Amino acid sequence: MEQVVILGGGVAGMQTAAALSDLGIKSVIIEKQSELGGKVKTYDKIFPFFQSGKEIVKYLESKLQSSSLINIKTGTEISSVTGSAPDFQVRLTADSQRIPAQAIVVATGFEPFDASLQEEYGYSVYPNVITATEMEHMLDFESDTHGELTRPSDGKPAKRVAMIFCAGSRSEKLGHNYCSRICCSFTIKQAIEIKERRPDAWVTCFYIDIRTYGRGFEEMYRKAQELGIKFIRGRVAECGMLPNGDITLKAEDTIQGKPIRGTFDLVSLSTGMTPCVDAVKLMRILGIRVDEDGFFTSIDTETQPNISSREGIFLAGAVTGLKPIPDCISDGNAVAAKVAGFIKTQVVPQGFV
Amino acid sequence: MSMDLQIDFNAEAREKIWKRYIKDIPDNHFLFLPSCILGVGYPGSEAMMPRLFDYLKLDWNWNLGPESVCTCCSAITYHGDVATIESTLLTIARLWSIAQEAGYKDLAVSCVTSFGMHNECLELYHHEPGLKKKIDRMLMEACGRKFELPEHIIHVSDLIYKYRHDLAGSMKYRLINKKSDNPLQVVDHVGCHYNKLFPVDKSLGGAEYCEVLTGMVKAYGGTEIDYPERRHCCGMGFRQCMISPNRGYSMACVKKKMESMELFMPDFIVTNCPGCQIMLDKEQWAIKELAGKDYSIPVLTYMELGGLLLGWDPYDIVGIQFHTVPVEPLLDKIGIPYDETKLWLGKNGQILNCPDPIRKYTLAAGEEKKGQLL
Repeated sequence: MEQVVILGGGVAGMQTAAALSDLGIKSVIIEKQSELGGKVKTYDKIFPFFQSGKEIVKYLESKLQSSSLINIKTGTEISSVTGSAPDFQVRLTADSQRIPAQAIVVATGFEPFDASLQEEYGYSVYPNVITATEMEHMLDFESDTHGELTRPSDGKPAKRVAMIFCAGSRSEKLGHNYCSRICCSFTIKQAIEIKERRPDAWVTCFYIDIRTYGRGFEEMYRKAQELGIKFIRGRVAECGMLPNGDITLKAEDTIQGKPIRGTFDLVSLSTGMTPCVDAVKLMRILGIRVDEDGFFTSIDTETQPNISSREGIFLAGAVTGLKPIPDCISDGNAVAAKVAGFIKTQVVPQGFV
Repeated sequence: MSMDLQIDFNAEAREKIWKRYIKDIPDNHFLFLPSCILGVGYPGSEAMMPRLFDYLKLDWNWNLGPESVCTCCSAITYHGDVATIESTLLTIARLWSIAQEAGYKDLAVSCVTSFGMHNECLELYHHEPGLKKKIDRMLMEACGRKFELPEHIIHVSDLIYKYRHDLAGSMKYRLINKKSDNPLQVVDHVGCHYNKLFPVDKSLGGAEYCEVLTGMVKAYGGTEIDYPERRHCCGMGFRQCMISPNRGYSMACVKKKMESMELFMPDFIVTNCPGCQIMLDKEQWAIKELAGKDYSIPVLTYMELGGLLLGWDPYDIVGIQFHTVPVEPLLDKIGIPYDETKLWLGKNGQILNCPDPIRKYTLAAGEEKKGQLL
């Protein structure tokens, strides 16, 4: 029987397996972490409709569990791939077992940007400068903070909150010229949560451009403005820390055309995304190409975004660039269709270019 | 404004960040290029450089012949919009030519502006095709010399940083408050042209968490202060300090820094740039006169700091009498002895006329007001 190996058990990989199962194709999910769900399993609320990321993962998991065609291997990675499509042999680091595969799907996701590389913001040095991922954890009622927004330095409530957009994105200096696409909406969602829980909070967002492009995104942005969240157009130049742990911030307000300063209890960096940490390793093992930005190369971004540079290897989710959750799930469906077509015909679709 | 609780920054994380930016510091067979202004404002500081090179037994030189052949690097005119970059390229090419003629491929520069200028020229040659040929021709036409690009251009503070632990081992005093036994709290002010022009490969520690002075402070027993305006310019910029109508900007920059660091109660400031040293020290007096605010935070160059801790005479060798903000209270804190009768003692054993009325008044005010600007 046909079998597909899916690398990565995040939402894109999970949806690929579920869709392949619907088509009667067997798959094995290889997940490095001990559980499925990738980054989404840590999101309490997702934008723009404030659904639970954890519940979405649970829903996908239930779909996988109900299928007899899906085999899940967690806590392991691939060590080598031999052969060629449709006779790949995949070896894992956990054991010497070989897994035969007619096709391989790469759905290994992304990594948040290491905010300490944007040194001027003082992340990792100043305790009250955190990342959006840490903010998400703080806002989660099920986490150790019980949803309380407090300053890591002294546990005092954080009332004055600054959110810096595009941390690590759109930066030639850092080698990340691309827009990470999802951080504007992700951060606006967090700003709304803060303001709704604590109406007396002062939430200020420093942005370059607001890129709320998806369905319901712009409406969410409007809601944020109506709640009294302040949006200042301009990059933040530098953060510093006062003796009491307050964070001082210098920025430029490009609409007023003047430099501004502010003092905050907490500064959250809306960190961009980078290719998954294993991208280079996978490139070598699988013999596929990556682009200049570090994300995997599709044979044609416009018409065949899920087809890698090597026959029989397909790409799903954020491995070809940043995508919000619905796009990753759509990608899982699209890849499943492409894989099914390939297994049936053994013909690799050709791109427009 | 007072702060009830001091929150510390994460020193371990800071260490990780500055270690991304390291560089080679050649210390064998180099030509030393003095500063135009350091020796004028703080003569002890520059005079201690040769003294310290010899103390460390380094192979160095600055005397290339009976005639004085080294000139200003001309950065002051270039940054002041008085001269073109071609003039500066030519001036620096001549200095490199002189060094190479004497067999030196590495240069140690005393002034931070000059350090930045030498490196800027070097970068221009690396990035602009045809520039070397053009300056070759111009130099030959101007003074009949040839030149090659130097291998290393370092700042003298790089050298002292390299030997900071060796020096610390020989020091008679540590940066410890002798009464409380606590480490002294030190503000470092690194010259912009040391770490902001080429932060990745010319600065020890990069632009944000530069280590060159902090490394010395830690090796000598003190602790660093990280305050919000740490990276702010001292305000010298040549177009500000040299053009009278712009002078207010220089003072405003110093005031901004002082207001920010004051909350952290620093014991003193350490600098590695002659211009910054002058601004941060002298402008405190001007701020006192114009705004009535007295900070009285002593400002030392890294050479003066080293000399004092090694036990060298504060007046005769280090030359602290040239400071506007009195350094004596800091010496009292550390426990370094000094003899005020030697304050203006000339080399001929005669007392010189006090050239600094501020200091004269300071001393006249007696013990109670010692250390304050009057």
